[in-house]
Amino acid sequence: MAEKAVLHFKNIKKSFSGNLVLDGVDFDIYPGQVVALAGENGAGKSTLMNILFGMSVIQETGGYEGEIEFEGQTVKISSPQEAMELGIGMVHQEFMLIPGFTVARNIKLNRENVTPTMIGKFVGRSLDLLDTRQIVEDASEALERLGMEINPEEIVEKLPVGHMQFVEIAREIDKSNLKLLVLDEPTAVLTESEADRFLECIRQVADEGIAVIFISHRLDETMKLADKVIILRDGQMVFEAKTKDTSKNQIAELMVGRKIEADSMVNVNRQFDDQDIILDLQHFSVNMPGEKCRDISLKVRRGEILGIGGLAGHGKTSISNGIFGMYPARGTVLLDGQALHYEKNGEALKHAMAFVSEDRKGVGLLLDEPISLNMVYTDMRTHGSYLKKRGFFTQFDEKAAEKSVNDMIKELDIRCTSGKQLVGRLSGGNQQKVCVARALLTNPKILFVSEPTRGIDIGAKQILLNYLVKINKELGITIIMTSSELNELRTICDRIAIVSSGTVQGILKPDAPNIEFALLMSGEKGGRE
Amino acid sequence: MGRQMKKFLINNAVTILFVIICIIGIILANQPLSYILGEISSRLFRNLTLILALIIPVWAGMGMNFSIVVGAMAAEIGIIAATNFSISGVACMAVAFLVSIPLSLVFGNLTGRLFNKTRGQEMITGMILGFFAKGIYDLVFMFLCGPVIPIKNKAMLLTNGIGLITPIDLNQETKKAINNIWKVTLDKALYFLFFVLIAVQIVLIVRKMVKNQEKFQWKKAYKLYASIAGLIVYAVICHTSETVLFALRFTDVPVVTGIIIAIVCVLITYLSRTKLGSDINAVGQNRAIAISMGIPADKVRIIAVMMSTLLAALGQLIFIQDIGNFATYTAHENVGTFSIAALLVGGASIKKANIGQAILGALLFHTMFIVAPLAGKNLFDNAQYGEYFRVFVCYAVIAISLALHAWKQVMAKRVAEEAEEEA
Repeated sequence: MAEKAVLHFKNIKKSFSGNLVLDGVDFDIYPGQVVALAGENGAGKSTLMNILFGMSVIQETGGYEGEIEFEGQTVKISSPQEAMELGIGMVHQEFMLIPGFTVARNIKLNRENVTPTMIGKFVGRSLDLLDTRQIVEDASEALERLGMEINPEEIVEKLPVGHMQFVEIAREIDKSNLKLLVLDEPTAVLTESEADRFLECIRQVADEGIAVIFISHRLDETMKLADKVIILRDGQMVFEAKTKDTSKNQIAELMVGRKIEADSMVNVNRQFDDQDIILDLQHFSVNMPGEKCRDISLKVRRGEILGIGGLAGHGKTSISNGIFGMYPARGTVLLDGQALHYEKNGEALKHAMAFVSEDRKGVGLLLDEPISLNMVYTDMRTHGSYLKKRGFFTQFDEKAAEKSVNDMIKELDIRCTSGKQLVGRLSGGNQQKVCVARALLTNPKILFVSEPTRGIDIGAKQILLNYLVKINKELGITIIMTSSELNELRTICDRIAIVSSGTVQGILKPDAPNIEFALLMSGEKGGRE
Repeated sequence: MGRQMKKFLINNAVTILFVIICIIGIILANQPLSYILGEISSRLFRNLTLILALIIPVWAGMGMNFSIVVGAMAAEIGIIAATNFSISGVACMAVAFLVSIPLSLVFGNLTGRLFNKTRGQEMITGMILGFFAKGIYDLVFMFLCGPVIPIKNKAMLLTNGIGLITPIDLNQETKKAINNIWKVTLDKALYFLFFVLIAVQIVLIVRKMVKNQEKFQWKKAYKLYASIAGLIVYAVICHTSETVLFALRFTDVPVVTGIIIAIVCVLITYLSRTKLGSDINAVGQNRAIAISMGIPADKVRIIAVMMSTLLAALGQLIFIQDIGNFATYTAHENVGTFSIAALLVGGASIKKANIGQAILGALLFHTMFIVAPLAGKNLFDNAQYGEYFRVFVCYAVIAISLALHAWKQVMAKRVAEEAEEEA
């Protein structure tokens, strides 16, 4: 191309405390071009954007290697303000609008037109009056460029959710120096028709000569909109091609990437009775901030390991949290055919279910208490075990607890000095083992495990997964495991339900091809099992 | 309709409750109208600036600024300094104000910095800061004045030469110096107010007509009609009721104080329409977004507190000159709580406050203050009951308002969730 590239990432590398999260990302973008950036959670997309915007996390963790060239000049961007001055704009996944301001004031936020006044002249420019008329005019012009009919004098709070994203785009394109626009999953909250409209808008913006980086999990959109697709996987740029030279299936395949050996999947061919349902979710929805799910219908067969997978923010973790009463939920949950009053805290525990939360330090553990108390606490509270009666009072029976605790420590290979060690002093992996032990001591029929291997080392990971398989087989505990790591689910699960946009998109066998998982994750309903 | 009514009642619960209390109180107190009007008028002019000082930090999302106590101290330091040099009359007030400007700005700046460090807990921080500042203030004027800080006016020192006497009296010329510059009776002042109101409405309408090149819109000029109707009703009342006219003529209005208050109101309104005012509001509504748009949130918050502290100093000056003396070590103590209670009574919340609410709140709260002891005396033959009642009510108002605000937020969230689910 004869034109000069707007932006050129040159061999960008970045590591967080020794962990390489970006490894040699290298691509460029030309004016008017739409580049789609695809990849799983944790592939490095947001880190790359953080580098581009000079977010403080990057400097605080030791900067990055490689160079960024902006319009032919090598630049070091050290704050979002600098990025803005260069002409880089961003539309975030969540709305960055002031709710009580009008559309126009939001579009012109911090770039308001002012009329000079006497007071402003003497005291400081910030005391100049706002030129409301000009602000509204500029705003309607920007909205018009997008082809949107939104009243610029409406308060943002009162706008339909679908319109807010357009206001954000209008704000970016109103900046006269805008050269590069980054869109981070902009269509996640839009309905289908709104999303179509939105894509048209983006095309229009690009046609004005503005380069666009488009991050999205919806492959259809990517194919429709982008000129070029770049795929990141584990921090590496694994693919770069013109959209017209590739296909949806190829992208999906590449995103999930890593091959998994057939023999590492231990539970592919187990048979279960489809009529023997232990847990039945019907139109279950949970209002968990950032992880909402709506209308989940799912049947769990007795004795199986069911995986729940999907991308972050699409609602997979809210299912177990809803059942355990952590967040407001509605819908029907049948446990052995009996309705469960999940809205009552502790009800799930009473019915022989146990939960290993993804929020290990917040919900899972009492960090300032010893291992022993942490392990037996739930059992003590729900079943009254390990308690001695003393008249009207009960007292914690340390002796009785000690035996179970020591058994568990041995069983799970928890590295500690003794059961009296404070949980806060343990490593992540050992803490997680304590969580699992605590859940098991309640003798559950169903065990919910959420992100069991997050933030723990490989060795501990394997022990945990093996242990889950073992208790499932030997004790017949039905396990429902939620995880962002697909491969982890595939190793131990009998079936994997993929949740996207808050609903179950489909249920797959662990040995189903990569592409099917990828398509379900990006929200395209595939055939159910 | 019923739903809207309910919403109105919930949103204005504190104000409505107070209107009822005031009406009952006035009936029970059984005092001549002239007395009550006079008291309300003088208290309104005395307290309003202090209440207005609270508005800007509310915009900035910092809640009620309990630390206006610090601004009040700046004013007292100003008066002590002016009295020390035996300046009297309006000059005393002018010097006191000049001294308190830099002091209150510095205090406000430091307070703002502290608030930035304790974001989300501005109210409790402000309250504790008030107690802490009182400690330093006491140290300076109780122990350092005399031995360390030379005091020229020996009459201000205690007999052993250490520490200031309390209370500090303003001399005859200084007492009510600003109030006495120009006084008119309330009946004239109200006529004047109505004429100004009508004139302002007409000017605004004409300006809009010229700007947008449109014809006079009869339907939209309801504010003008309301002003004219108010004037007519007022004139009719004055001409038919002897008692009302007498009471109005009996009451004097300090014009210059009124003008100062009007200027403060105009400046606050002006600020709300400037770039800075817009920034303050943006930071108040969502700090994270404001920062991401490049608004220096911390700086904006400091400026908001500085303005508030400066206005508090001015307010305390007006307050003290009206009373004519101040308890050296305790005059600032209740400034924060009383002003905040008044603003909340006017219908403000920790998220929203405007000038109208400040004026309404000042009227209602101080009416209660006047009538409560009298009502208690008539009802129980003991003024103590009323006295107890008004102090109790002051704190109750703050507690109820804060609880109501939290409750409203929960309700709003629930409604939003339900709406989302229906959609």
